[in-house]
Amino acid sequence: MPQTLPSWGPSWLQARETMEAAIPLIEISHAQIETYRFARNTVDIVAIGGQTYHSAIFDFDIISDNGRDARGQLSFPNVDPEIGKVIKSLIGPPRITIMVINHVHPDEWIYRAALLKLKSVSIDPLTITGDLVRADESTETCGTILVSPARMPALFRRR
Amino acid sequence: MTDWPTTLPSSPQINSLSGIPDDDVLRSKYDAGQPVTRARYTAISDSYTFTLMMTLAEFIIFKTFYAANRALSFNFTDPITGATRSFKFRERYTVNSIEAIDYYLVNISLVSAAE
Repeated sequence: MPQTLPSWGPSWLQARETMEAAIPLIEISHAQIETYRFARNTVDIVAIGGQTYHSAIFDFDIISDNGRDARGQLSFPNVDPEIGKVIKSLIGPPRITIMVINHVHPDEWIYRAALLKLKSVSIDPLTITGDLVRADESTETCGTILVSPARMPALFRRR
Repeated sequence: MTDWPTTLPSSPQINSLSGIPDDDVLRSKYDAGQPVTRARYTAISDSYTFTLMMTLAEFIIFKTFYAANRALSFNFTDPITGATRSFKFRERYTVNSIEAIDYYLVNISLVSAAE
């Protein structure tokens, strides 16, 4: 999706000094859990769509694509041990969306990277770390079909 | 949130107080001229390090309070502004005894909630 800057974007990005902070946001979603939302800020922020993003000083690499799979890394504080346990127990990797906002314009993102997945998750009492991988549905393995006499009687027919 | 025990001193010893705010300003590095600067966060914390003088009885109360709240926020009087703010222990305390007068000097490091 092409990303266009909001009207206030160019002057903010080019400002030589500003008190308007660039706040990275992250959303972790999966069918098995409610979406976790975090802001890389010292206090909680209400942003995009009136959602509360909880304060968490996480770190991430911007996805790079140097001829191989696009890949980056994300680590964020294990603010609640339950979050780490839940993420570890999910079937299939959670979806990650990263956005950057200007805190004075919290309803408009200036950068957004969606369609990311978190793989190779490792968890310790302080941090959750994982590889950010671009989701590519075309390389997903197909679901298997259980072959049973009820489903495929021809395979089990006796001569 | 727990309050700092009223039975404990909260005024730092003279000349023992030092404080520093979070460094939340992003600064670009140039060969010359002023750097480009911008705020990194929407609120900042203050860190204080200071010494409190306690009797043995007070120190025992402090030890109990520390054991119960070492990872939790508590209300404490800001040693500079006098306002009640939310603080956490930034690191472990250290203690030195003054044998001659049977008092203890407790060195404490606190960090405030971001405001």
